[in-house]
Amino acid sequence: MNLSKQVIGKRLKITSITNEEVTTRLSELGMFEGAIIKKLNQAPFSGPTLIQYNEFKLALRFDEASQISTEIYE
Amino acid sequence: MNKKVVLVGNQNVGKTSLFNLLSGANQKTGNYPGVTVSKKSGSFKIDHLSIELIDLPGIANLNPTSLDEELVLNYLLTEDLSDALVLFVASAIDLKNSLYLFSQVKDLGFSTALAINFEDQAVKKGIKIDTEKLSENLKCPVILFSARKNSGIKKIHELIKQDIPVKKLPVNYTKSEDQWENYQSFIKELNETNDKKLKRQEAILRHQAIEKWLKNAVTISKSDATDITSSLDKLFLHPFFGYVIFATILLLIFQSVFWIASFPMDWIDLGMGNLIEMSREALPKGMLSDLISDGLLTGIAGVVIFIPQIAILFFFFGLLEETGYMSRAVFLMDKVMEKVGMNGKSVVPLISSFACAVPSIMATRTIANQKERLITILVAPLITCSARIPVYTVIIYVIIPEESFLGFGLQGLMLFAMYLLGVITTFIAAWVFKKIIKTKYKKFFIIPMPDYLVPNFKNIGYNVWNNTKSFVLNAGKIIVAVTIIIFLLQSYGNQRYQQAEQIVLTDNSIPDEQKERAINKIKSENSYLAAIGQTIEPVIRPLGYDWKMGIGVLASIAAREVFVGTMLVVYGSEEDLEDEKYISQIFAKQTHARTGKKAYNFATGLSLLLFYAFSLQCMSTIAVTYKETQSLKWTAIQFIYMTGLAYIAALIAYQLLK
Repeated sequence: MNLSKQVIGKRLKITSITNEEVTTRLSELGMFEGAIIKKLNQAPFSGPTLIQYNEFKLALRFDEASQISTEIYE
Repeated sequence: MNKKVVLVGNQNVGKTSLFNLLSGANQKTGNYPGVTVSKKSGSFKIDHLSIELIDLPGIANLNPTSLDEELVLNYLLTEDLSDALVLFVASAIDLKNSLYLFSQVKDLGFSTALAINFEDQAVKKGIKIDTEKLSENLKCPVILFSARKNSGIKKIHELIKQDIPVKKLPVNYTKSEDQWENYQSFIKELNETNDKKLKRQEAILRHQAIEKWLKNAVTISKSDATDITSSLDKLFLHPFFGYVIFATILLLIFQSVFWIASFPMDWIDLGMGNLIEMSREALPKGMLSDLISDGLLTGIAGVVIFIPQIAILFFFFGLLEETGYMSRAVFLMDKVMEKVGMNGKSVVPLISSFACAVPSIMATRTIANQKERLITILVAPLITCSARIPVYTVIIYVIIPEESFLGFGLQGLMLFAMYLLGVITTFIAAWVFKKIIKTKYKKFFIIPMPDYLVPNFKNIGYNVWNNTKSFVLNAGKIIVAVTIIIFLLQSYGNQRYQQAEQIVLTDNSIPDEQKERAINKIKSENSYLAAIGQTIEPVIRPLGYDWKMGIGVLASIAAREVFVGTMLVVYGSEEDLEDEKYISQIFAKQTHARTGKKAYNFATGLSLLLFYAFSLQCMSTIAVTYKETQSLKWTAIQFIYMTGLAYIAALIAYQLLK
């Protein structure tokens, strides 16, 4: 399920990223496919998604978050 | 001895706090040539060493995705930094993330040192950093400090005094040793070709190296301390309560800029008024006395009056930035503001514009994205500021009857409609500028979300001081100069102007107590400003104004509220009336100089309201826009689009209604 639609508060595993630009930008932050992230918040009306990776918290815009496929990581 | 120190680092690592702590009040703010990105430099001394300190904008990495990042990269690649120290500021909380940019910057081959901020926060979170081991791994000096607690600044001074040898980190991701040797030119090429595969290769290798560097130097013991930031975010980013809280904060800031500032502004008004009065009495009567009292001192009063609002707004901005709340505002407002080419941060300046556009345009300097900052500057003066209120109320009293509609007073509804018009136009204009202004870069989509922190008030204080100072010294000069020019145009005129006293004093039909008013009336109608008013009469005729109103429109370039006072003088009435209803009765009696009908009927009144809603009748705003954009082009564009819009709206209104 794409990141913008995922439930808040769950740990997620990035399964694939469809956009090359997004892939590059996230890889610079150390987030590659397979990385475990946590979704912290979702702004209403297709707003940004707030995630946490390691100690780093960041928000991604809806368009970009929609291109990141994730699955719930138990 | 001189030494240049350049601060480089990510966003939200406390780089600017360190800059403030090191350079104190000795700061200069300007812009990078040709762009709306602010450039900060400061100076200070360590023993006998004079330090020039440069604060570069916070960036994510050396592969630019915004103009700021391009500027930083260009600065590092083109500036002569062979004798300089590149002081890299990192965050102890997410050192991993900081080290990515650090390793890139170090590979550029400068004398580099690493200063890690948030030492106190790290201890609380159970993060232990062994600076000796880290220094060994990173081949450069490493120190810990806390800008918030003001600790470790001595260590930074020691660092700056040292001569630090240039050493490269061994992460060669380029295709050959040769490219690695010339890393500066390689990175230039990489950004031109935008080879995404190579960039990802770099990312993988650098992150592997970072893991290795941190392994024996950093230990994280899972602390029991709950994550306060996450708990607070549940409230502050709540899809309903988050917005309620944000609206409350905006209301509080608005009230402060509007209401709290009014007290010191009244004192300044009174104090400067007395000073002007005193100088009039102390100096021998004549041109020089008038020039000093009514030109220079009035101009200075016009600058000083802005200080309370600017200081209060920068205080709140500092508070929002320091606590980390500003990033939450961006998160909440991003969707709406992005549509019109602005940023969540633009909301605070726009709200402050209801009081005055001058402090709000200055406050846009915290918006890092240059296009968003420029658009916010361009549209902020469209919001109904407090200087428009006297003009609006008087004209609404004249043209709108004192009746009510569905229980609402018509006059109140009209005033509300004017406010609404301002807001709607602001958003439309912003949307248009978003379509027109081209940028090379797509808007950033990664918004770092820092932890909440207790603010450092000393740092906020420096911010308030330096910004207020730069307003007084830069925009202030222009405001004083224009005030003097307008004063000169008003105090010289044709022969009739020079003989005004003689004409009135020898005219026995004028009662003695009205003689002074009559003199002022003749002077106001025959000054050079009035001559300009008459010259431009053909231009304002289609809007329904006569040449007398032209004088008011011209004089209010100084500030919009001047219109009412100037018209009273032109109409031969007392100048400093307070009661707007009484003033409106004087206005209502006037006849149009050309048509002989009522000067203020519904058509001319509405035409004037629209003109004042849109036109940039405010030299202080023009001065501050020039100061902030450092561009005559954008200052002119703002003036022309607003005045053009005002002219067309007033023209249509008058021609349809007359």
